[in-house]
Amino acid sequence: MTEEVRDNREEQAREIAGRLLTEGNVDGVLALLHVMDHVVPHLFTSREELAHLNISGHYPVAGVAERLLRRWDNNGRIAVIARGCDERHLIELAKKKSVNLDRIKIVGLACTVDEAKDCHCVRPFPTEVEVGRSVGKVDYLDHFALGELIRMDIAERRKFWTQIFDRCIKCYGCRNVCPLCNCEDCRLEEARWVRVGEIPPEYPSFHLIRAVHLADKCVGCFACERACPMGIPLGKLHQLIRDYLQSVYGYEAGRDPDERSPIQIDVGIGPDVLQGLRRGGED
Amino acid sequence: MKTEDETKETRASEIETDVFQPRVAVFHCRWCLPDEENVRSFLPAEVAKRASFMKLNCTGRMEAEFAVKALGAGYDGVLVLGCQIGECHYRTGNEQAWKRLALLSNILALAGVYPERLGVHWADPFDEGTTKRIVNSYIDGLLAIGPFK
Ligand code: SF4
Ligand code: SF4
Repeated sequence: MTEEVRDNREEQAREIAGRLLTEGNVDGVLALLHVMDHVVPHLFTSREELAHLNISGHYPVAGVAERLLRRWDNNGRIAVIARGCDERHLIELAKKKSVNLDRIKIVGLACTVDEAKDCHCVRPFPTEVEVGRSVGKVDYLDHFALGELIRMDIAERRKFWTQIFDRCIKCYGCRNVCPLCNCEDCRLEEARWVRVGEIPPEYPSFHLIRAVHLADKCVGCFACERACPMGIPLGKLHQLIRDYLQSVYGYEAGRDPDERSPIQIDVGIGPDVLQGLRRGGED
Repeated sequence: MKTEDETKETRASEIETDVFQPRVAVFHCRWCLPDEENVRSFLPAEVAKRASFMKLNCTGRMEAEFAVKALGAGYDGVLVLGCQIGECHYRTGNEQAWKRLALLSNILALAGVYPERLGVHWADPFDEGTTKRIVNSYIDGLLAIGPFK
């Protein structure tokens, strides 16, 4: 049954991608490419390639879209086959002025029930679904230690997290996979912020520096949690932080490019301006 | 083998170090509390000796990461002192800090750190008695929950 739906989605996606390519209003379609039992992000530019387009793989593509457009000096236009979380990533990147949404045609892909469960996702669909059919949100508090964690007292939580964080091998997978964890100079590599060349990282700096830095940007895609080779439930931690912003400010990251984070000071300059300044400084 | 005298000596020093005195990282705003010595005087003498003081141009500069880093580096508490709401030299720096620190306190609690380790007080520079009282009750809180590491 799931297989059927999946195949169906793949056909739908290929058809839409093919149409977009021939109609010529995009330079390419960014999606996942099936190669040798793996999927990789790929910019499809010809109809022939589309036979290898993959829908069931799970890899956040927003960061790829951002870098691609930047390489073209933000002149091109691409379509992105985007799950709900991919779209929310793009919206957050647009808030940071890292991507220009006018240059992106989002082809919304709905996740299946199983995929949504895998990610404990509270919004497994984009704003406009073109591929597949939306399924409901997952009640993630039923999952694993999340509900338990809330019932624990502080000392128990401390034991819980130190045990878990102590498994960290500082592979930076969580940071690398997240399209929103993309500062040019990362504090998690600087001796001023964390002890360099030591594992496990000191509690709580390493993981909480990342957590506070992403608190109001995280869109709850669980990519960090899936990427972690040591099974550290970072996505769940972030989901609880997202809950806080939702309950106190009614704020949800990735919902609307015009919505400002309640805890952000808007300095009104984006990376483009900063890059200009940096270039100016170098001359 | 230790002589009896040596044993006594170890005991004596042990007893002394047994009394927990929290290490506190104090971040204070330069507009309402420009004088470090003055800020120091709000803390109990023993605590002030071991505390570190960081003067900020405004508590709006206070990043949640500063507090996280301080805890990771071995401080038992982080105290933020700034101007009263409405009195910020930059209009809303302290309000911005407040939102960030409230979020941080929630994250700390989730991650197993007593949120009481984070203290925030908007000080009235003309009412040092109140500031001192609040800072001391914050320190009492730290004493009650014990060392962080
Ligand atoms: S869940 Fe993890 S990878 Fe996804 S946006 Fe949040 S921090 Fe980034
Ligand atoms: S992915 Fe996991 S092991 Fe790697 S740095 Fe992140 S938390 Fe640590």
